[in-house]
Amino acid sequence: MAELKVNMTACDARGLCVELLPEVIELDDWGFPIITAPVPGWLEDQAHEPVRLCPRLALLLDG
Amino acid sequence: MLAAGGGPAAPLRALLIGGYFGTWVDAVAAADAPFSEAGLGELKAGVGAGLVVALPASACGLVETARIARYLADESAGQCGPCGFGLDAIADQLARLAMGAEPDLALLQRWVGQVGSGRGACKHPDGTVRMIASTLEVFSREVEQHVRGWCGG
Repeated sequence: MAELKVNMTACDARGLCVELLPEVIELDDWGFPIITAPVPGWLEDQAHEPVRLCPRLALLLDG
Repeated sequence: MLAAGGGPAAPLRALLIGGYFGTWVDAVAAADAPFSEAGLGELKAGVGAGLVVALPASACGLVETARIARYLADESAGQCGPCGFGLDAIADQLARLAMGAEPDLALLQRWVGQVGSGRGACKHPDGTVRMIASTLEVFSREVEQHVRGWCGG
């Protein structure tokens, strides 16, 4: 299963990722993403969206 | 291991084993443990930086931890959110707990869970939160007292 990874140094808590993929992303109390689970197969196509659209290019889909 | 340092000069409440990123262990539980990964592993602790802080029974573990947590939060390089914002907030909440100033324990536990799970850009928040989590466990009696507004230390 593919896994979303966050480059926390690049991340600026814009919050777009959680809008696009709430199934496996939550925000902590300061707006930074928490990846809650690996990306299941049926969600993999959609998981490319936050990686592509993150304004800080802080997301990576691994595997 | 305490004997090697000349033995305790006063009755002890707890030991912080492994330095500031280490683990608080009750002094009675730690008394006979050998200073090795295997010996300390049974106490859910480790050798870490190789340092041991002995907390006398006359001092308060929460006050001491709040001081360490503030230091570590201030030492954050500020390169990522969980560390820069998270540790600062946790240190503030610990200070409230140490002073008995209406701490929000649920919030503190929630932040400890959010910040210390390998999310930071480096391991600084993980180690800090690890130490803080052991504080809340070992000094659970003191936590209860502080919530009610007094300190036995």
